[in-house]
Amino acid sequence: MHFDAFDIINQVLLTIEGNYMSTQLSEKLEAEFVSLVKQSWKTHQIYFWNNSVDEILIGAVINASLEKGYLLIDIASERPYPYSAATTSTTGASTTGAPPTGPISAIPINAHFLRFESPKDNSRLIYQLERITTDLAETKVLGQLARVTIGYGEKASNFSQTLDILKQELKSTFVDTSEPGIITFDANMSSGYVYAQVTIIINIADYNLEDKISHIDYDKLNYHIEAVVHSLKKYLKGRNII
Amino acid sequence: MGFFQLVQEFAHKREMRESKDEILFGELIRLMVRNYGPLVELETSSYSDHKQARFRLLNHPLLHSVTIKVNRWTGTGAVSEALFGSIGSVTIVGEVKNYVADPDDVLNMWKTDFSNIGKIPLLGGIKVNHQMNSILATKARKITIGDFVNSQQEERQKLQEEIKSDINELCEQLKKFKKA
Repeated sequence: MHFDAFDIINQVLLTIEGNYMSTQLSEKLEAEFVSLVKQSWKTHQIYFWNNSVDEILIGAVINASLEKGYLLIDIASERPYPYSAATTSTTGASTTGAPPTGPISAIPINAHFLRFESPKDNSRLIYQLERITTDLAETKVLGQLARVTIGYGEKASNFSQTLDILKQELKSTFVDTSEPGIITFDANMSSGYVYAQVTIIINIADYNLEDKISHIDYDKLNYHIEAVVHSLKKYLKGRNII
Repeated sequence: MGFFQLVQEFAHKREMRESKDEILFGELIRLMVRNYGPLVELETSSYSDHKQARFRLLNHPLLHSVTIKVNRWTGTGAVSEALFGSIGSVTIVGEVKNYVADPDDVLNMWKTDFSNIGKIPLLGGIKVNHQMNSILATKARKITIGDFVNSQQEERQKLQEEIKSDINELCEQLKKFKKA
């Protein structure tokens, strides 16, 4: 077999070109792979932010209330109790009251309760938030809808005032409070607090700053809370209850 | 003071004693939301005095999220508070997220798990839990909740600085696990 110098150089050049092409292809494929993974995370994040919309608002409400001098005195965010699990065991002992276990833990928490107290005048604010739309498809079509009950409470100065509110509370039980805009009254006999509360339906997305789920428009949030609390205070005082 | 006011005061005191851990938890949520990022997960249980909140860090160069857990050990009842005070713990978990994981990470997980033996977060040790896409570092501190709640601004300022320094410590531990 005979090779001259030209053949050898040609062979080397071909090998270099081949390696170069294969490196280029490999880099291109790797870049494509990275882009596919990035895209997957982006999609994953859409679901993540959709699940967290209510918690973001709750965090913002806590932040805003504490800035105004309130103290968080009660918080409850729990998964709905799995009714199917609340069965009676073979020994007859009911398992009701046991913490939820198993696949239920994968269900996102969509109901929250907050209670604040002002150390200055002992007035209280309560918030109860429950998401109406939870799935991504629902929220894309209808918005991030949530039913929010806001309550304002003050200490009653005597027993007869608490009794008055209890009468109002009795009437409130006959009202269909699933509809928004109905003012109801509530009295806590032990601590002597009387509350006026109302349910409203909000689109959480309305409180997003620059259309970002993670950013909250605090000015708007504070203004809306102030408007509701102002009216509830009037209802409570206007009835000469406080 | 009439009987009604007396009962009211007693009930109010009881409520505020029971709420001390919630007051602390609220302050921690405010600290995190103001300085780090939005609250994205929240879990409080009526079955126990355990509360936890996860925050997504939006512009942090290393951490993907931070979880804060508050556990109350004593002080829910009047007797327990009189005997031991309101004592609990604050646990901070920092998370680094790598967007691609491969089987080599499983070997690293085992290495990390072995190096964790003997590390107790409450005694100042930082425990690292290596999962596939996430690496979590945990630090805990004991806290006298009563002192925090009864104090004015100084104790709150001190706690904020401690939490910030804990998060920085977690960052130092997690730096080596972040892939480019």
